[in-house]
Amino acid sequence: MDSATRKKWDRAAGNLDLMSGYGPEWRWKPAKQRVFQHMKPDANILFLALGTGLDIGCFPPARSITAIDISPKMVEKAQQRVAAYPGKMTARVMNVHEMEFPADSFDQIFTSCTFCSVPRPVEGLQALYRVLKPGGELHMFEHTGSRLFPFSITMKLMNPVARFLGPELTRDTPANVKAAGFEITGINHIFLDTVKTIHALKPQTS
Amino acid sequence: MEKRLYFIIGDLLANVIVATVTVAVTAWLIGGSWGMLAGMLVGMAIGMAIALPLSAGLLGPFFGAMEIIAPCMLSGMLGGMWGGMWPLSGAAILQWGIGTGVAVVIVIYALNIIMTGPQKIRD
Repeated sequence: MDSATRKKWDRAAGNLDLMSGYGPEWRWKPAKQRVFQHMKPDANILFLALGTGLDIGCFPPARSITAIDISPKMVEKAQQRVAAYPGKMTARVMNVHEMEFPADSFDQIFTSCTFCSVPRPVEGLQALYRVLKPGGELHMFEHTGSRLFPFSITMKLMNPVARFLGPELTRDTPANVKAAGFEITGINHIFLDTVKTIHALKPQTS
Repeated sequence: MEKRLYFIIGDLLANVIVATVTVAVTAWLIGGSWGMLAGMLVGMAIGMAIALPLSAGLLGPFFGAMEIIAPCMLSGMLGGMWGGMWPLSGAAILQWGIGTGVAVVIVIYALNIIMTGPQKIRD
């Protein structure tokens, strides 16, 4: 169990809604809704990381979703939103590195601002690869590092402070997705080259 | 490109506030007294150190996350540079702060027109 990461996000649970629930969520809502529209009605869906459940408002109704988060406090705070979701949804405390699901369990996996925070991102994505069925889809809404000067420099300089408080700012998530074995089918930049959606497949023959 | 008025005003407000505060602080601390190069480098560092908590902690919750933090770091860096390099006071601080904040937002919006949307997948 990664207790340092769990403690960090338990600490953040108290003010996550205050920090992200208004401006950031409102700003990102159209882009998130477009990503989550990929949720298929008949699919077994894994969503991570749940946080306090702010993303649930962007999910289409009547889907079958299992949501996980490493922080018990986050999952506790999310319960009301999980219960209000008009579909089948369960929330569990689980570390992506230690998922209890059998291999090839899910048809689709969705992430939202997750792989800026997973401590070992390629291993985390490999864990997703394991539980995704061959031909299954990975859809991500993530912020990453930038290749654009001067943001590439300022984000590197800010990163130690950001990492201490929560997410990292310099991750190359598309490269990590590829390194984990996925086949990238689409990348869409939402803000500069730092906020993006990434769409990928687990190949049929893996 | 962002078209919602609330966020356009928020972007302008956040960058103008961060730039003006950093110009004021670095002008007060350094104000060109350390020479151009040292003043510029130290001013930039101070500007970024001020911009991070101001953008992420105070302005971000109202107007966005990366959309506020990344531009405000640039506004803070530039604001710190001006205040470190030159002896500015009063109306000049305000002019440099407003000018820097507005210019950064214009540049970011222009970059966004070029950079956002579907990307080519590299092998």
